[in-house]
Amino acid sequence: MTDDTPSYDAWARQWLAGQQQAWQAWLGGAAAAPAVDPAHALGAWLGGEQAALGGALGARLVAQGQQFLQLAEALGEGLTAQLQSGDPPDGQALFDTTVARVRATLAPDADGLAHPAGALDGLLEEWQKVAARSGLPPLPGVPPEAVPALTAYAAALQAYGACLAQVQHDALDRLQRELNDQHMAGGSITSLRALYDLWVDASEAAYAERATTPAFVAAQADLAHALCRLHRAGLAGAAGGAGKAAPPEAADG
Amino acid sequence: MADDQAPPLRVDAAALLAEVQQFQQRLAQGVGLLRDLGPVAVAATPRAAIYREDKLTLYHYRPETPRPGLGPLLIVYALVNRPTMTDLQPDRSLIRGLLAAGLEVYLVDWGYPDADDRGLTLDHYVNGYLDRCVDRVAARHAGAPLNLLGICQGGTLSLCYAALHPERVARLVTMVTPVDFHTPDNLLGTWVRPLDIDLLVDSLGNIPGEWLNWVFLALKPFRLTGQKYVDLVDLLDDPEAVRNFVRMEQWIFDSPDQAGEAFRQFVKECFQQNALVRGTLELGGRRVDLGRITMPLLNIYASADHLVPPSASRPLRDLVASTDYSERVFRGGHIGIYVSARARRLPAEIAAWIAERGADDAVTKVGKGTGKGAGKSAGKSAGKSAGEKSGQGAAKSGRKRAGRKAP
Repeated sequence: MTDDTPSYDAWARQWLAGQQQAWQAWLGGAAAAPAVDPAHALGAWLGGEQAALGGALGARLVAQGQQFLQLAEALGEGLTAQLQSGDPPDGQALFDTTVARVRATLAPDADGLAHPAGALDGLLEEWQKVAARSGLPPLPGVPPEAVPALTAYAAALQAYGACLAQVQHDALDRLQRELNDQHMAGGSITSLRALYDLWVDASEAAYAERATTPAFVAAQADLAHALCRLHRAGLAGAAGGAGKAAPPEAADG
Repeated sequence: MADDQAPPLRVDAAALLAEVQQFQQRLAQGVGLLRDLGPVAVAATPRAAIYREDKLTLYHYRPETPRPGLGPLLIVYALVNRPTMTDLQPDRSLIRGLLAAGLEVYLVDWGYPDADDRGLTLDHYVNGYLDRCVDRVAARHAGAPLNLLGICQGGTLSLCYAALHPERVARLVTMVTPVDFHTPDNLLGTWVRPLDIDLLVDSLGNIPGEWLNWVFLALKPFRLTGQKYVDLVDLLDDPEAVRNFVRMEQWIFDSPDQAGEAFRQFVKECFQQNALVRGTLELGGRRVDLGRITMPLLNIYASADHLVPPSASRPLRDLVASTDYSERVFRGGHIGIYVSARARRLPAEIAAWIAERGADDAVTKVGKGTGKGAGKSAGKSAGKSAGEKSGQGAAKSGRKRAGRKAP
């Protein structure tokens, strides 16, 4: 941080005021969506301050705050569209629009690969730590002998990601059913937070069901095995390049 | 639709804006609080290290007012995660609660295994390290059998120890302890069974703590990597609540690496072969027969435990020979059993359970039940120093490892 950097309190006040103005204008139909993702902006400012944030906790807090606000953004888009059309507010249409928007993020990419959406970023980041600790060779340095193992690992990671994406589709189905059940019982969701909590409940229920299926269990085990084989191939390749026997396990110590 | 006036989702722009603004405000203020929070102490109860060996440390906690007749209590925590969970925050501390109930408490801290520990087996942990900790505690208490409290995987190790050395354990308490690893609702068990554990251990040596951490988070990923941080935003104006959150967070991500051979054995024998239930587990060439557990046993499990479901703990009842077997169901989860408001009652209940089985009476019972006799046990330990006993253990096992005492 340089001396020109404002104090945290001053920065936070300024940031908050700007963000809230932008959201107010956007939701009133008077402006485009906030240009800067609110939690991202906060995280970016705090980027140099992570050590003072209790290690990684601040980063996780900001990341998940961002996820929560993205749900608000999705709802907000539906709301502004309804406001601009001049039609009366329609909660069912708003929900359907929001779900469709989330489903779109789960759709396979141009290569036909499915990806889990941001809600599971935290889990995948933790897996990256596993991979790093398990001696995953840096991509530019992967020896030729290890390329097949690297390809197999990428496929295993993709298969696991597809399982997670499927869980998220299941979760949205469950959420729609749950919301409908609540509605039939005379209840309705009246806050973003209640919708988020209901979605988490639906997601965990969908995950618990999917996580015991042979396909999911196999995909998870395959991922672990593929990482180990890549680790071994990387070590063997490195040792071959150095003209000596493979070193012992890299995860030790 | 049940009522056109009340759609399933009733969020208008003003309400959404108010909620977003409040959330942003709390987030901004809270991050500032986190930034200024400073270090947060865990395991703050005064203690003394009375024994060290390799990575292991045996701690002693002294009660202000010891209650006579209870005997010492040795806590055996899991190899995974850190025993700081037993003393995480001052007002929610299992150890403080046990001390307040007048118990003299000892705690095994297994430490952080490194490359030197790759070859450690369950035999080393149970018949080696743990046995020598029991020696140390017994030596400070006239050689009397002690109370053993095993937690989670530490409970499984304690069951092994009690089965192999029944004369040394007066009473056994197991908390959230897996025994039957093949029950259908055990998600962790379902995941571990198809693992090629030889490939993992042969490739990696020790298993990185990050790997176990990932598995634990993966059991409930939406709550554990997402929702709990959104919930934290609600707590951010309460510094003490944030400190407690930070304590828990530090514990969660403080996962020691696992000694490769012991991990291989635990996964193969317990998770994959269910050897504890089948009676086929062998440590140091001796079969672990839970039927040799005849001392009073209190089995505490948590009704909503997602790591060790009740179905994994309850079969213990039918596997031990103890005629004094009790169960206590804790309404909560695997972690709530230490830090929830309800958990505050547990230490006093454990102390009461021990007190009801008075120390002298328990020693007699153990003697009768095992046929080996507490008197023999007491004499054996009391007549030798702990150091001598340690040497005796090495001679018995006949397996020596460089730089480390054999079990």
